[in-house]
Amino acid sequence: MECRDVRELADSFLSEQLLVETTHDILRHLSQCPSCRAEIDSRRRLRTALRGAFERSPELRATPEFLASVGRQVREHHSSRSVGMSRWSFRPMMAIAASLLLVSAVAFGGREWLGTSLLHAVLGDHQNCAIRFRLNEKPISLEEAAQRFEPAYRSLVAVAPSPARLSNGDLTVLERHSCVYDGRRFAHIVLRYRGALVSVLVTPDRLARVPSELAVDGTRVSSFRAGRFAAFVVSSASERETREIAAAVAGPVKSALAGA
Amino acid sequence: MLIKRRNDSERVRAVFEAEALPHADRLFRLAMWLERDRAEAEDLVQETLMQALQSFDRYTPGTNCRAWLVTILHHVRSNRRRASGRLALVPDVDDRIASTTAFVPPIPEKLTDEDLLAALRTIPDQYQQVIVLCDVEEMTYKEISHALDIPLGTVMSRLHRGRTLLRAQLTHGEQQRGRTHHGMP
Repeated sequence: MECRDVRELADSFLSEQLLVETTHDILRHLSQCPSCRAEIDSRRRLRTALRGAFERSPELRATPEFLASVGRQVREHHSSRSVGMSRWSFRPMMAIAASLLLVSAVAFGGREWLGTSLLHAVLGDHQNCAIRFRLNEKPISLEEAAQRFEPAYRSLVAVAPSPARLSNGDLTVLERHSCVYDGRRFAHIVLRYRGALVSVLVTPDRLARVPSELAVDGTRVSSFRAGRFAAFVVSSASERETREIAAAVAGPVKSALAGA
Repeated sequence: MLIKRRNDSERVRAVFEAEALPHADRLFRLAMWLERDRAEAEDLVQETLMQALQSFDRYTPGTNCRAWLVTILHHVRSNRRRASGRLALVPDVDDRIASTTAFVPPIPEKLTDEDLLAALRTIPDQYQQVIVLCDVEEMTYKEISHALDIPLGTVMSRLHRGRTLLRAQLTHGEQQRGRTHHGMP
């Protein structure tokens, strides 16, 4: 085997794609040819460097939130299929959700299924962040969350409900931040409506199938999509009022996230 | 019957979580490299994993699960690009490039991650793809051929030409930096 042949086969040799006999021929040549040895070493170094560059690049790294959400989706997808029910059948799925969440869940008008762990995170965040202030992880500002996790959160810094005056009372923004519940990060806008707290929770999740409305143990959740985000309005107000609040919030949230 | 189905399904999910999910971060790196957009990359990986889960019965245990996932990712990506009209049929420039890259330049001694990734970005997509699948994902030529749905010979020729182009680009980059370092224009 000559230098020219070795150079031609060098990459296949490094990728271990050659027949055993050819590999032996190359090894024999390399033991006698410093120039080809240097060339092979140089190519090997380039490959190692390239692999390392990919692994170290912060731009190419997935966020922990995304990896956690992928795991959740696999489990949700599985539970929606394992009992042989249609993913689009909302009422039967809620029966499963109820058994999983140990809550009674009643759909009122929803047609699509909201993954149980997403529903759990939405309800849990409203209860534990907006109402009880007892999250494991301290909320951070939307600006900080935009920098660290999801740039689109910055668009929600100035979002306000429109109209702010609903048929039975005013809708006031109390706080905006980003918080995590059960591994899922939300942009959280806390509102006050007739003395009660209302949560607007926004999370990136293009695959989540959101029901327009549902009720769990007296807490109502009204949902809508805003591009690649799923958004939820959680309140203890009546069905009609929750719908009204969602309508006041949906427009501004959708336009803030348009193109994000 | 229902319990049996559920148990089977539980097992499939458990195996999928053990075999496929650990590759999610590397799949994301690849998707991010290809899409250059975080939201698109996340979508692509999600859809890939959902499709992989649905067709997990077609995966042969003990084979390269990452290569299997990469194949699905490329199919999903091709379908999405086709649907959005972004799948442009590029003329095969292999011949033209072959005639212009006969000289294989030496690989510069000192290379930063940024130099390498920037140089890789400058070469045509079809060469980037095979280099990434081979050198970063450590897939065999056969697996790359299957994933990209191209003949084995094309994989080899693209790798050869792609690497030559990459080396030329790295040398060019080093020369440019040398000029700047010595105050030359």
